[in-house]
Amino acid sequence: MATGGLLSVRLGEIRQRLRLFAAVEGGVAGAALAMLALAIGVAVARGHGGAPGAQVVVALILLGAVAGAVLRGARRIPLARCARLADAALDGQDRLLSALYLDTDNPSAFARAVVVDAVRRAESLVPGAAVPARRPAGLPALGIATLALAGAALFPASSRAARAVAPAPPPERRAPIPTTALDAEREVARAASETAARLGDQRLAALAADFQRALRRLASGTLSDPAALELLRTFEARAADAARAAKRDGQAAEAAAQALEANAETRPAGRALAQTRTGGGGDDERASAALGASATAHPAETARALASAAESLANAAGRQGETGKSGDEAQAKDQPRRLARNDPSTGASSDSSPGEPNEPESRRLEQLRRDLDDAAASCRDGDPGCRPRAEERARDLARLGRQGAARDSLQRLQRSAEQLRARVGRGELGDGDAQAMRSFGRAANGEGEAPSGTGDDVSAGAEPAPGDGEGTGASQPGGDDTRGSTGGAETGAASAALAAEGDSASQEQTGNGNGIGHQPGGPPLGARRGDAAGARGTETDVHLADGAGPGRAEVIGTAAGHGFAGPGYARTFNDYAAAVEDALGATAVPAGKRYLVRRYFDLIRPRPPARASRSAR
Amino acid sequence: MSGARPSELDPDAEAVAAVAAAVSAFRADLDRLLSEVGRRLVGQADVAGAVASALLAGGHVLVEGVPGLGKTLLVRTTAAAMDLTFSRVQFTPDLMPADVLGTNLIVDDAGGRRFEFQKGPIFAHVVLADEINRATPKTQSALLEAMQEQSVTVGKQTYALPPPFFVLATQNPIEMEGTYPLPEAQLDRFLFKLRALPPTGAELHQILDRTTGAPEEATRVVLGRERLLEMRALVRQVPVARPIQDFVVRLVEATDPSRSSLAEVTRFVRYGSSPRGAQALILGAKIEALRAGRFAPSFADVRRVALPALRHRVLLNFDGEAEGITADALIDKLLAALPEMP
Repeated sequence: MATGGLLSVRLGEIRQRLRLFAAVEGGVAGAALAMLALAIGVAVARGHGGAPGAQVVVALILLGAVAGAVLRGARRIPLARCARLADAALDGQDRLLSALYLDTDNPSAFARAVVVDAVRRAESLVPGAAVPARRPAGLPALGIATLALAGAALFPASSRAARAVAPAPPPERRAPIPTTALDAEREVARAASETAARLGDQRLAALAADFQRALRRLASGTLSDPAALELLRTFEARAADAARAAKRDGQAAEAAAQALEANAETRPAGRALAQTRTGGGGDDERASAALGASATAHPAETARALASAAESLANAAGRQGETGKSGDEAQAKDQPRRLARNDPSTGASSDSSPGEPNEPESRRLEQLRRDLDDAAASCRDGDPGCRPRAEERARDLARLGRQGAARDSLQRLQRSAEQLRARVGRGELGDGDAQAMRSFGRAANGEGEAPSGTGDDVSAGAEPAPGDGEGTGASQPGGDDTRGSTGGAETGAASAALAAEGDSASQEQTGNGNGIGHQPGGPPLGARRGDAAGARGTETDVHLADGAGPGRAEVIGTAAGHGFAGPGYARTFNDYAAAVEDALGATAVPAGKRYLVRRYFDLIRPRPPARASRSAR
Repeated sequence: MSGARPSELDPDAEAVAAVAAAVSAFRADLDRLLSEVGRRLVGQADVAGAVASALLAGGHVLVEGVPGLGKTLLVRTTAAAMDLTFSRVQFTPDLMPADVLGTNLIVDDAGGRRFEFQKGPIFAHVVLADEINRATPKTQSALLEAMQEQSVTVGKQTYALPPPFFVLATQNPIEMEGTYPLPEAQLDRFLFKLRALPPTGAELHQILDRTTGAPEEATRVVLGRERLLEMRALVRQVPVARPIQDFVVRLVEATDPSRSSLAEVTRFVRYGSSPRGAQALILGAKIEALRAGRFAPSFADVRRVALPALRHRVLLNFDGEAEGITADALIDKLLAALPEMP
């Protein structure tokens, strides 16, 4: 292509004008970018106490403008674009564009005519008409950048002292608790420790020691409220498990003792064992000696008594397990929050459901039952090992009875921990002003104060609200023992108050024992909701095209995809399809229309839904 | 060279001047022809212009419209204004190819008995195939073969049709019963497919004034057959710039559902235009340029002829038919979406 002469000159002028405007656009954009960068730089420099000079600022802005102008102005501008602009300014009939492409080395007469015509028209073309002057598009950005730079330069900077970063406040530390605030809990722990020492129960001793340690940490103020709550909740769960195990042990030991008492020869041993459950220290040896003497004198009767004891122990353990299980199931229905809140970190309490005998405990009782059976068999066979085995089993039963005797202490520990947890939750261990403020805040929010009535009252208040917490007063293990007692009432109130301070935001009704945050909680916002009402709904994705609904082809295709599978439809379809085929064969239907008819019947043919597919469309 | 003034183009200045004169004469003759047709035919100016363009491009035209819109008058007047022979064939289901092409008859004369070819109505310069979709495909294909080959073969003898040979076929879009719509391959042989629209109120007044009063004057001959052939030759000389041709190529490609980027085309089109569509676009654009007194077509010329050149070459699929999509609407969308220069 050898474009020359006036046409190329005119197109060159247009290209120069385009390049000029592009350079201006680039200059404005470059200046705007430079000013924005300078605004940031000036702000940072002033923040450090310095500022760049005005000459530097101006020089940098000019540099940015020049760089932008060069970058944009140096871009390639094809002549075809210039020709299009020129044609648009003329009559829009692409005369210059055609001339540009038809101006070859050996043009035809028509091509020459095209070129001549274009040149003639280009003579009258003013480049300004093809590329009119316009305001650079980057001017608003330049204005914003100017304002930003002015703001960064003129905005008064704060003093160094004001700018000094304030030291981070020391981590909030709970104020030490008054020495008398935990006296009741200390007393419970001390009593439990003494009982453990008297009964020789290591489980109780360990729990008592842990409780004392927790009390010391609380008193020293080294525990934050959430940590204290978590610690007490874990301890409470451990104590509850231990109390359930102790109850089972006690009942098993009692059943075995009663079986021994039922036999005249082993009655002294049975009575001695019964006394061990009261905590008598020397009764172990007395029971052991009595059963040993019985085994020596009346091995056969002793064997029967031992076998009966083994069976009673097994029955009691099994009954207790089932009773505890069913009772805890009912409890679980009333107290969904406990199960829901069971956390893997709480240890044994979360590994098995409450009341269900854990595996080591069950194995221990089963082992004792077998040992009793072995001893019975030994005595029945006249084995010389009958006596020592009988004596050993008597000591085992005595130990089992003592562990059962620790149940009350364990329950007291649990209740004490629960009450303490409630007090921590209400903030009652802090200073009085803060406590009063929190109470006022709760009252102002309409949450109400926890009642201070009996455990029954608290339980009644805890029942109806959906999603509320448990009425802890009625949920104590061995509920009959605690119902109506002061401790139960306190526990219920404490739980209610603790629940009112809970962390879940999904609770709407609070107070009167209704806990917050003890439910598992609903689905997160925006999540697809499950079928809570139990309705058998199905979810269908609906696709609409431009809001106009499905087209006719989509309706036919979708209906065919779902399949008109009924036998009545299939019969009707076959009748009509056969008639249509006959008609198509007998009459002169154009090929194009035959296609449409056959296509339609192919789409609506009966098909089972499983085989239907949208590809039929 | 392109920057030189006309006077500087010597020794080619004369050639350029001749081209300019030829284009001016073309424009004047075509204007005279259309003016003469317009003197007899009220309205249908677009159809008349497109028929003239097809005649100049050497193609044939399919006109779709209800009866009574002046299609026969248009063709008859056009033929008369150019002093061309005219014949009209009313297509019916029992029309046979021999009725159109002609047949060999036994002639008994002094020399004895012999076969003599009796030419059919197709042996005319301008043939009106009225309601072509009412004839059987056999008869249709006989006509369409003649349109393509510009000759007729009967027995072992081939007879050339007199140039210029121009067929204007009509079909009624309403009555489809008992018709044989043209297959796609035969539709493709028409350069343009035109739609005759009903007259406006003012046009109808004019029609009534003309046809219910005194008899009109006979059509004047404004062009000779030779001049028509010269004009056809001139059309072929018009150059097309590469960007314009590239636009035509991209437009035709865009009608192909396997290559188009327009969602409507991929969804509703079964087959796109053949290369004959591109030829029709270029020829139509050239004639549009000459009608405007220009030496080369522009993008606007291509856009102007896109509908008549492509509407019968864009074949809709079942979805398109069912949704009531028209080829015209698709082509309009294509023209709106396709950039003139990529």
